Amino acid sequence: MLVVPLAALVARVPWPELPALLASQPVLEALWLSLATAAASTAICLVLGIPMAALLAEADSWPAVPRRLLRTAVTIPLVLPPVIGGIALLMLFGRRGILGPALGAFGVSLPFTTPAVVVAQTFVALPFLVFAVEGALRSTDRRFEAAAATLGAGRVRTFVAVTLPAVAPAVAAGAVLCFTRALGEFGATITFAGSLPGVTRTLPIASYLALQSDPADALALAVIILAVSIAVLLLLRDRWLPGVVAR
Amino acid sequence: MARSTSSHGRAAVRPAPTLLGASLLVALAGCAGSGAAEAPGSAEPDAITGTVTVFAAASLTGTFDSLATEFESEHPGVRVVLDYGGSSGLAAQLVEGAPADVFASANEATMTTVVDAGVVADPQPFATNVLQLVVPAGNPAGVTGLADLARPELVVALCDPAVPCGAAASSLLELAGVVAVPDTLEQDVKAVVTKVALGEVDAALVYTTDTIAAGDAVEAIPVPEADAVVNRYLIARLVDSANAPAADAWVAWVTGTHGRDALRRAGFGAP
Amino acid sequence: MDVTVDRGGFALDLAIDVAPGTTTALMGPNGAGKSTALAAIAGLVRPSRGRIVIGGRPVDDVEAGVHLDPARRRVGVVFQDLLLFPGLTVLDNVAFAGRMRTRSRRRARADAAAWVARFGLTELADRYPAQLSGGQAQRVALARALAAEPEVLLLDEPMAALDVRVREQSRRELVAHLTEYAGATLLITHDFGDARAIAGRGVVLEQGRITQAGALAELEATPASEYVARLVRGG
Repeated sequence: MLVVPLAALVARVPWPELPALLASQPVLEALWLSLATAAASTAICLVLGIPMAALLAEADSWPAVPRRLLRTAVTIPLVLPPVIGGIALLMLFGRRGILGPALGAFGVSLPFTTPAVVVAQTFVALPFLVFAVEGALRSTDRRFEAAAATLGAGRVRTFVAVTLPAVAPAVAAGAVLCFTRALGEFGATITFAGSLPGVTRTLPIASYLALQSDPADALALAVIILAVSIAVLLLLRDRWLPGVVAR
Repeated sequence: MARSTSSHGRAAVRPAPTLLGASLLVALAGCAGSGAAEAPGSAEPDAITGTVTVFAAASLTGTFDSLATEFESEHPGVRVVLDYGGSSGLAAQLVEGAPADVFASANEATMTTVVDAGVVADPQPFATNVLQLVVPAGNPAGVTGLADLARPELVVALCDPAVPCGAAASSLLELAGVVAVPDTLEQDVKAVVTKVALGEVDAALVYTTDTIAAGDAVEAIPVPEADAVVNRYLIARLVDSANAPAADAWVAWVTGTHGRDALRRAGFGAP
Repeated sequence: MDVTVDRGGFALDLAIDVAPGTTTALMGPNGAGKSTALAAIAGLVRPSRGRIVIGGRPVDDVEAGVHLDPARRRVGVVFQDLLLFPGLTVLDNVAFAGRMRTRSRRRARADAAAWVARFGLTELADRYPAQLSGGQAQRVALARALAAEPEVLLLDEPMAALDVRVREQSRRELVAHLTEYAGATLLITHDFGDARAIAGRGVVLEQGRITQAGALAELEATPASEYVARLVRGG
């Protein structure tokens, strides 16, 4: 069930024409845009997601209401249809949104820009990182933190130097999930950022549009998304190994 | 408008010319298909039953919904399942073998691809649509005509040239000699309308029907050149339809007076 | 130090005085409160009464509202299961302790390298804890604790995880390192052999109270309780 649809897709790819399709300007543009935005949103996910994961992992001692609110807030992008997520982002950052007018006063307008693509991808990808890291944090041995404290380390240094390395494989796994989810992002991006070649038209959007006019192009684009995702997953698998060996 | 509705209400009670048209088509389909053995029986209107799956261009959404409701009350044994989307996307699905009975496309080019693939035959025109320049309610950017689409400081949304509304927009802009500076090229017309209605876009080109459907959230700016670029809507039954009699009845319903009237009310032009 | 800890119906009352440069063994049966005493001295639990004074400075004084964080009380601990940081190499584990002395990462690593050399671990410096033998890991844990230059060193059953074969050698090594250590050492053990090899004085804790304290020879000569008598016989 997991592999067969992908195999069917690969079987239909017009292989002889593929090199020419891949080298075409629109495809390269979309590929570069997708890689750059997915990398940027993964970086933002790491910066925002790791503290959120730490907070969630410690939230057990909180009162039920804020704890559940926090967990729900982190989970929502995961269960929300991405298009609705895109509309929510418009409600926040759009011209008539909550923050949009304030940003506009500084001459900043987010929708229909490349940063908007990054925001949309971050929004949908963040839960993947948070949950991957939180799960690992929960299973870490809290006594290591006690040991760090007796060695003179404060909470922040203990977290950065002891806890994070211990959960490094989970952080890497979360980042990979985050990146591939960002790479495949469609609904929130097209709703919030639109679709302009070279600016906001990422691979999935280009692929969907190509499907309307030229299915062969769409298949070629799909193959790129698939290939990049698989390459990233394989590449980072080796990177986790030192952490795994250290366990 | 109100008068014409009530006259059709009456028409639905007694055998209307539309229904005769339907049974005629059914008989024809019977001849072409399985050898006409059942054709006389299916001349009786209530002989049609089952489900009709209709793939329809997104711009037909509201109109086909209400037409389907009327059709189902006329033929209690039939259920109409409507699947809306960008015409080109639907066409691609049909070529891939998506199970449907009827396809209604928003332009000729799209229908041609499906005809060429042998999925449908004999499409009939049933409506036309023209583009309109739309702005959010209140026209905050002070848009007056097509030329404003070239102003870089405005946020402009168009359909991508790959989809019918985008192809029409390209033709219209070319005709008007305007080089638009779009901020986004959307995959279907409803996405464009939504962004205008939300006020995120200053100006866009959409179908007249979409402007009417969006209500007070958007305003239309008259564009004289628009009437020169007309999208012709075509409808056809699939060759492999599993329920040809009901599918033909639906096609007749849409192309008949009921359909024509509902389409006119939604802002479509005559075929 | 005077410590009273009440935790979940368990009460601990003790007064221990360990002179700098000496080692005292804290002994007792399982559940007597040895680990709780260690946690209190390290600052990992708050006593409910009493004082803990290290180097003349009260680190806990419940009546005066004093409680210093573990990070600020200069107590080094070798935990029973060592708790070497699994994501850090041997060198980084030791350097972690040095970071409290110096802000410079380079200085800390240079200091750590010196500690690692002193404990004969230079060849293992780049290994991760999972790649070490029990005896090696124990040496790293001791090096790490001492690298923080604590005023008090707490050793929690340091031999418990070791094979009998390496135990004797490990004891000798520990004694050698402790003779170079100027602070006070508290060895927690239930093995009188460990105590005799490493410590000079002994304190016996039973059900949260001290039943006997004094020179180890004294404990052997005149055991004050049934448990002490069995302990010194090695049972």
